[in-house]
Amino acid sequence: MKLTITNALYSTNESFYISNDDYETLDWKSDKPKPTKEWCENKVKAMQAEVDSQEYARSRKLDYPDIGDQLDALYHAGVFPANMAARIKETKDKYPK
Amino acid sequence: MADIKINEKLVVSQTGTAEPVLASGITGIPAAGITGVLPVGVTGGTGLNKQSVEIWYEAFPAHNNASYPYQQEIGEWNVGYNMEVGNHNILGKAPPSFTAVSAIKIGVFNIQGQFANQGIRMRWQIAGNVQAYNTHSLGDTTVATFPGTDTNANYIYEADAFNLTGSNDFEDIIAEGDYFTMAFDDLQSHNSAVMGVAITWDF
Repeated sequence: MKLTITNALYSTNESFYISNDDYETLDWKSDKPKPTKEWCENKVKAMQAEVDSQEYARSRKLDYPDIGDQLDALYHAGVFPANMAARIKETKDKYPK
Repeated sequence: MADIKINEKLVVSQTGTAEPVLASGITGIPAAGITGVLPVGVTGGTGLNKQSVEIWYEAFPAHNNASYPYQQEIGEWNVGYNMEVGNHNILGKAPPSFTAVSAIKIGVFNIQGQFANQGIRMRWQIAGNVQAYNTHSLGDTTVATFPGTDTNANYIYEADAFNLTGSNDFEDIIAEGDYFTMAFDDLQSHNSAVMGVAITWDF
C-alpha cells in the first residue's frame, strides 16, 4: 500500500480537512500547531518504511498452512504434553473416522 | 390545430391560429422542480415545495482483531462490539438530484459510564466515480461528549454532526453520486457503539 500525506495527517489524530492529498488544500482545524509540508513528507517516508518492512510478514501470514493443520502435525509428531495429547485423543476416539 | 387531452379530458384547446386556451376547471400538481407561473386553473402545487428524506446508514464494526467478537447485546439491542477495539463505520452514496444536506444525526449507544469527557469522534472520506479514495478527507474531529457516570451507562444519545467544524464540512463537500464513508471512535477508552447515521437529504 502506498501511503500519502493524508495518512501522515491521520496519524496525528487531530481535526483537519484535505483534498486530493494536496498539502496546499490543508484546512487545519486543531488547536495544535499545523504540521509543515516537510513534516508530512518525512512522516510519509517513515510510515512507508515501516509498512514495507512488514511486507514479508503479511505475505507469510497469507501463505502459512492453517493453524489447525500445524497443530495436528505437532500432535502426530508426538511433541504435545501428555495431558494435551490424551485430551485430543479422547476427542478423536469419540468421533472416529 | 389540435387539442391536448389527458385521459380524454380536454386540457388545452386552440381554434385556428388563435393562442391556445387552458381549459377551465383543470387542476393538477406540478412535478418537483417545475418552475414558472402557474396557470390560473392549476391549484394545489405542493410539488413545488422543498422535500426532504432522512436516510439511515447502519454502522458496522470494522476491527480485524480475531480475539474479539463483532457484536454485543444489551437488552434486545445488538450493536457493534466496543469501539475500544476498533472503529465503527458506515458506507453510503449521495442520492441523485439532492440539493443540500440539512441534518446529520449519529445514534450512539453509550454502554459504559466511566470518564468525564467520554464521547465520540469521527473521520470521513468522500470520492466520486473514478476518483481516489482520499479525494476529500476529514481527520479525527470530536462530535459530542456524554455524561460519564454510571447512571448514564446504557443510554442512547444522538450526536449532531451538522456544521461540525464550520468549513469544508461533509454537507459542504458531498455532491450528487459521491460515495462516502464515516469512521467513528471513542474519545476515551470506554465501551460505546455507534448504531448508525441519519442523513437528511433535501430535494
